[in-house]
Parts: sequence; C-alpha cells; structure tokens
Amino acid sequence: MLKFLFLTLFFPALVLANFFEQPAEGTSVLDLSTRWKIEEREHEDNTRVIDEREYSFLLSRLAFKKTIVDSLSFGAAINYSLFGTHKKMFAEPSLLNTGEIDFYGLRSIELQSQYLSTDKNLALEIHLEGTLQRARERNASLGGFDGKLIFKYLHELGNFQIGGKLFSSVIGKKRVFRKDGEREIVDPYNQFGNELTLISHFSNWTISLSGHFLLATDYVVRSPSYTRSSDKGFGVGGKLNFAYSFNAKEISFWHERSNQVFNVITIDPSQQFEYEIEEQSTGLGFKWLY
Amino acid sequence: MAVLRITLLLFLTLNSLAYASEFVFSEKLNELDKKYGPTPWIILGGSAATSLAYLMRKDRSYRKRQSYEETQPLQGLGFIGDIIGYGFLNGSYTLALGWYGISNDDVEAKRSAELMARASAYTLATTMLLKNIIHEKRPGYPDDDQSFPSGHSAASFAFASVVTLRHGWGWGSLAYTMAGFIAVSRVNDDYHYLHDLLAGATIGVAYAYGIHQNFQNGQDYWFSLAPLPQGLGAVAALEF
Repeated sequence: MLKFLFLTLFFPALVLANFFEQPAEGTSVLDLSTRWKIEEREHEDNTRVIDEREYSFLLSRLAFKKTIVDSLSFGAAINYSLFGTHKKMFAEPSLLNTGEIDFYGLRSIELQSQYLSTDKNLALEIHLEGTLQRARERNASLGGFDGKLIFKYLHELGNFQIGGKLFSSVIGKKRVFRKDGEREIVDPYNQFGNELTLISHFSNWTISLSGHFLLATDYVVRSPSYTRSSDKGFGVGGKLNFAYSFNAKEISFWHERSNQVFNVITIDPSQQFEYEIEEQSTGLGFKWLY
Repeated sequence: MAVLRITLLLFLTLNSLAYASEFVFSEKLNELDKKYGPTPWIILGGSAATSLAYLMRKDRSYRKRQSYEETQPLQGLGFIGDIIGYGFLNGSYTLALGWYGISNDDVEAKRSAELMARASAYTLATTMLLKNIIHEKRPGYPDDDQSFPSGHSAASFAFASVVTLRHGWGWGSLAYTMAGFIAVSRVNDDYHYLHDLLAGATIGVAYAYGIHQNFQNGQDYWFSLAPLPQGLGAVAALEF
C-alpha cells in the first residue's frame, strides 16, 4: 500500500498507469486515442443467423481529466468517428447485404467523475455518455444515452496488483433511423457485473489483463415490422493492455473483446431464439500528464 | 440536444454535491465511517443497483418455461448452486468454528461462529419477511411467488462477507467467487431476476458488515433501509 502510494506520488509517470487512472491533486491528464471497433448484433436460432447488424468504425477519442481537490476528479471526452459503416444483412436465401450506411463525424460526448479514497484503495466513479451519430444520408442516424456507476477496489499481491470494478450500467434507448424510413428501437436495459484486472509493472512497462462477467436485464428490439422481446442476458469479455511510461507521458496499446447473449421469448415456447452481441476493438493511445 | 442538456445538468449536480461534501461533510463522514463502517454505503450502492435492474425489467406474460441452454451462463450446472445455496456453507462454518472454539477455548473462533450465526439468521429472517410481503412471481415458475429477494444470494453473500472480515481477502475472494456462482445459478435456472440477486446480496453483505461493526463498537442494534420493488422500505433489526 505505502509502496503504491510512494510510487504514485513521487514518480508521476506511474500515475498514468495506475489502476484508478486518477492524477495527483492539481494535475491533469490529456488522453488521445484511436481505436478500430466492430460491433455485431445477430438474431439467430440454433441452426442459422436470421439477420445481422454490423457496425464498424474508426473512433478517435480526446479525453481530459483533472483532479480538483485531493481525491475528487472530473473528466470529459469527445469521440469522433473518422469513418464507419452500418450494415444490415438477412439470412434468406443466404446472408445478403440488404443495406449499408456510411457515417462519420461527432459520435458521442462523455462526462465522468471519480471519488478516490487513497488510504483505502477504493473509488466510486460516475460515467455518462450521450451519443448522436448522423449518417451521410439524410434521415439516417443512431443515438442513445448510457450511464454507468462503478465501484473500484485494489489489492496488492506481491509484485502484482489485482484491481476490481463492480459496475452497474444503464444502456439507454438506442434509435436507428434509416434513409428508407425504417426505424428500429432497442429499449433501455441494465447490466451488472464485475471486472477483475491483473496488473504487473516492469520498470516503465505496465501490462494488464482484464476479464469481466455481467448479467443483464431484458433486451427488447422494436421496429414497425416486428417486436422481439428477450429476457435475461449474460456477457463475458477480456482486455489485454500494454503501456509504456516515460517523462510523465504514456503510450498504450490494447485489444479487447466482449460477447453478450440474450434469450428471445417467442409466442411458441418450443421455438428458441437468441440475440448475440459481439464487440471487439484494437487501439493505440497517448496520455500526457501536466 | 435535450439528452446533452440533461447529461450536463445531471453531471454538474452530482459534481457539485461531491465537491460540497468534500469540504463540508468530510469530518461528519469520517465520524459516520467510524460509527457504522461501510454498511450505509453498501446499502446505498446495493439499493441503487437493485433499483436500476428493477426499472429496466420489462413487463411480460408469465408462463412456465426454461431458457434456451445456449443463453444460460452455467448451462446445466445451475443445480450445484441451488443445492449448496440453502445455507449449507453458513451452517457448516458456524458448526465447525463453534465446535473448534468451544473445544479449544479459542475466543476468536467462537466470535467468528457467532458472527456467522447472527449474520445468517438476520439475513434469513429479513429475506423471508420480504418474500412473504412482496410475493413476486419467479420468472420461470409463475406458480411460485417467492422471487424477491433471493435467499440463496443473501445467505451466500453473508457467508462470503463474514469469511472476508474474519479471514482476509485471500479466503474472502474464494468465498465471494462461490457466492457469485450460487447467485448466478439462480438466474441461470430461471428462479430469479437480476434485481432479486442484487437485493439478496445487498441484504447479506450489509448484515455481515453491520454486525461486524457492532462487535467492534459494542453496539447492540442497527437500522437499515432495504430495497423493495415498489421503492425503498425501512427494515429495523434488533440484535438479541
């Protein structure tokens, strides 16, 4: 514990790589990153994919975080999509591409605030994100509003640190409008889960490996032509992160994957359908402490 | 833009509250922390998580059903959590440490056994009381209206919290992993909703930490708020 505090207080470069991602009082962190992200949402039964939506985009993120008093920090971020596509495919007679929209521009704005107790190695974070992405075609857009409450804890285990995040997220209503007038709405739902991270410091290098498990409430998708109601879901995911710190700066590279599965309720109980949401992203980031 | 305005307003409000509390209430918070330990925060956090999960639940028609196996996180292994979640862990711990403490006149072992017995008993009483007041139908078994809160989660998280408090985070991590498995098995097998698990876990953890704090402070009662599907309700517990 004392060793961790000593390192974070007297070697500012290591502040960047710490689990709580909170700079010392009066200092700020500027974070610029770019990631390639793919999100697939499949509606399938036990033999085939019935339809699939795929979002893929190159996302740049500019984030700022400042610690104003002792243990309280706040931050904001802007996500900008340099380019992206949204495809919808149907299975019949084969997996056909039946629509594709290109989009780019401002994607979302994030706000966050964290209260950190350094003597107990505990933190509470509130994270809010509003998304409004307009596509190139008129009347085509996708949007939503998400919120997340995170409780963080950290334990020392020899040369390793084990960090945990107990989180409860509200994934807000998502609206997808297409140029042909089709509108699909995903109702808000809740996720609750735990993420564990194993962190190891080697001189200026920090390697962390994370895994999470979550349970989710009902996932309901509505459009003028159908309503698909699913109840409980669960999700798993992992992230591998490499960070190199030097002179109060940090370069990081990461890859993460996650998967969520929901059970779709149908009128005929013998029919079994599911939604599967897969996400993966690979990114490169640069942080500057000043 | 309405979303952004609401986001900004909410964010500024929360930040203002946190900023104010940092200066104005820091000493009072420290006093509260000494008196009640983490219990109020556990109850507040657990209630918030339970409320969010409940609010996000959709209306549905109840019918007997079984989930598609592919969408069950534990698939066919849920029965293990069902069996061991009936308080066997709590009972075994209490009997084993109680017997060891009496046999060897070990005060700490007897205290551990007493803490586990009390935490489990109060957790069980509160859970059963809430089940019989609320009468929520189980998701897969609508003939049974004992869904909220989850007794398995409450008992297993009370067990894990007592183990953590008495034996440290090493054993505690194993115990919490076991508690998590038991809780997830209940959703896996369609016996509970997510908010049932969160409410059960909150009750179990809050009692364990609250009673442990009482042991340290020499207090003989405590008072807590408990989440209910229709809102927030009050539960008073008297130690005897």
